[in-house]
Amino acid sequence: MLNCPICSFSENPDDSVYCTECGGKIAEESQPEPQVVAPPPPAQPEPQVVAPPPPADLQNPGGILVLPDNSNIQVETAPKTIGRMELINYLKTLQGVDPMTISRQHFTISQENNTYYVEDGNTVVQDKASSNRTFLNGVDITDKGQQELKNDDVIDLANTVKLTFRL
Amino acid sequence: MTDFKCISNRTHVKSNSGSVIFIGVDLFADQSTILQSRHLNICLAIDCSGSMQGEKIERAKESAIILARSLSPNDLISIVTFEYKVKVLLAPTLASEQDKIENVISSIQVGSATSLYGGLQKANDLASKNAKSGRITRIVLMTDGIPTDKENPKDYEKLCAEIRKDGITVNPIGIGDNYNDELLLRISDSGGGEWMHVTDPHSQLPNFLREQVTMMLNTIAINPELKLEFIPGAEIIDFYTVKPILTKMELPQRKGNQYVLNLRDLVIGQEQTIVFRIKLPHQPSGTYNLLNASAIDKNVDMSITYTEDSTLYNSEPNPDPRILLFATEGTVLMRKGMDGDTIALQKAETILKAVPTDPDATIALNPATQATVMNLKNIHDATVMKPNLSEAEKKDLMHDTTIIRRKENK
Repeated sequence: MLNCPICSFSENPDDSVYCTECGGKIAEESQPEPQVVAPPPPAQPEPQVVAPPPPADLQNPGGILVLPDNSNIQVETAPKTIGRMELINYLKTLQGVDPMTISRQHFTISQENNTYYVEDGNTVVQDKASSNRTFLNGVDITDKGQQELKNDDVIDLANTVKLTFRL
Repeated sequence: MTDFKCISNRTHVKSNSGSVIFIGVDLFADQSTILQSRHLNICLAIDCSGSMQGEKIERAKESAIILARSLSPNDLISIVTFEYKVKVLLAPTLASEQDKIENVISSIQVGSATSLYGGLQKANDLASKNAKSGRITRIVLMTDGIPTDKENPKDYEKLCAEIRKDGITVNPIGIGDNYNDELLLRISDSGGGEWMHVTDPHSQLPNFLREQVTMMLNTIAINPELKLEFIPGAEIIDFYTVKPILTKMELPQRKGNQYVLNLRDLVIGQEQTIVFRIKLPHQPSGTYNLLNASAIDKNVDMSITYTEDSTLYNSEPNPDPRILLFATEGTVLMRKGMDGDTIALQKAETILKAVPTDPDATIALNPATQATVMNLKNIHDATVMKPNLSEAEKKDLMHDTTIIRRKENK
């Protein structure tokens, strides 16, 4: 079953290209266009030996991004961009901060095989890197490909908003 | 010539399965359309509340005189003013009586309160007297404030729908920043007219009123109907008009497999674009009549094929109607978001991600679709850039994203 990224309808048959609920496009047509930029592989493939067994609740791993005001954003299974809109309520409370500092698509968060990744660049859902950069635990990751996320990692958007990743 | 087009985004859907498709309808009369010359019947309903004092009322009076002078001798004009009281200043009078008309307009004075509903009712009494004699009839409502007699938009919608049945168009003109734009939008929707927003009475009011006369003269069909007969079991689940006004419409009543929709008057040079989201019934493989659509004297038949071939049912020969509907839906949600509805704002943001905003990707789309997509992007950026928009900025933005036609002309 496929989730519709527009209306969240979750009962689309696996071969659907169009959502049966809202009619929106949920996947590329069966003959995929040649991908101009191949999605970069994870920066450091995990050595199999060290990988811990996946937790029992694999179906609902439930990563969240915690904002400084303790509100949070649920990380979904599908790759998702985080940007100005997702943070707008918090941005409005900041004095003297121009919301435009945060890009509309600031970074992409994704999940593969129970591992979460953050990336700021051209991804399957993001058009281009953010204007004012993304830092992971203080290190600039803009246009540096996918980075693995661990519990309590801090993602800093444009030196303006710090989000804490929690598993 | 009248041009009537219906386009669906997909021609094939999966057999024995539920599908949602999009259909865009376009109705346009070009300059070559043969026009029957008809006399006009115009009623001005002018707000004379205290807030109109000064520049606003003086410009309204001046513009009314300009309008009266642009009429032909056999056209009719009547004038209602409303403040606390509703007054008939001028019963329907032939435009040839220019001196009388101008004297009456010059005598207009302001009072207090805004009996908008009463004013509209009285305007209808005057206008409807001569509406059925083949005259093109229009009520032009000018206001700058919030009504003090009836506030519920539903009352106005009901009244305007009644007025519309007689083939009369209600055109509301909002002046300044303090009127209720939502109310005027609803009046224009149910009254078949176009909401106009005046920020500078001095430069805009005379033009807007002159334009009313031009549009009336160019009207070739009053209160036309769009009839849609679908494959049994198909259902309209969303219905938006995009041009001349971008707005979400109430779902029309269905009789059997047929829907009958009231369109705006067909005016030469003014395109009407409508887009539907349609839920299709389950059907075994085969080709079916999807839709017979008719408007004015035109007819279009469309078919749909149910198939097991995934290459066919997963293809989309024309993405235009889909993108148009989503961009329109996003714009309507964005407007709600502007008024503080954060859930609508989030939905609009999701939709914005699903429509192509990159100029390269929109190049193949119809101009109306391109304009709607750009509009959605603009309203989004403006709202998010400045979370605390002033009333004046909100009204400008509301209006810019409602009247796509004007946007393109800029």
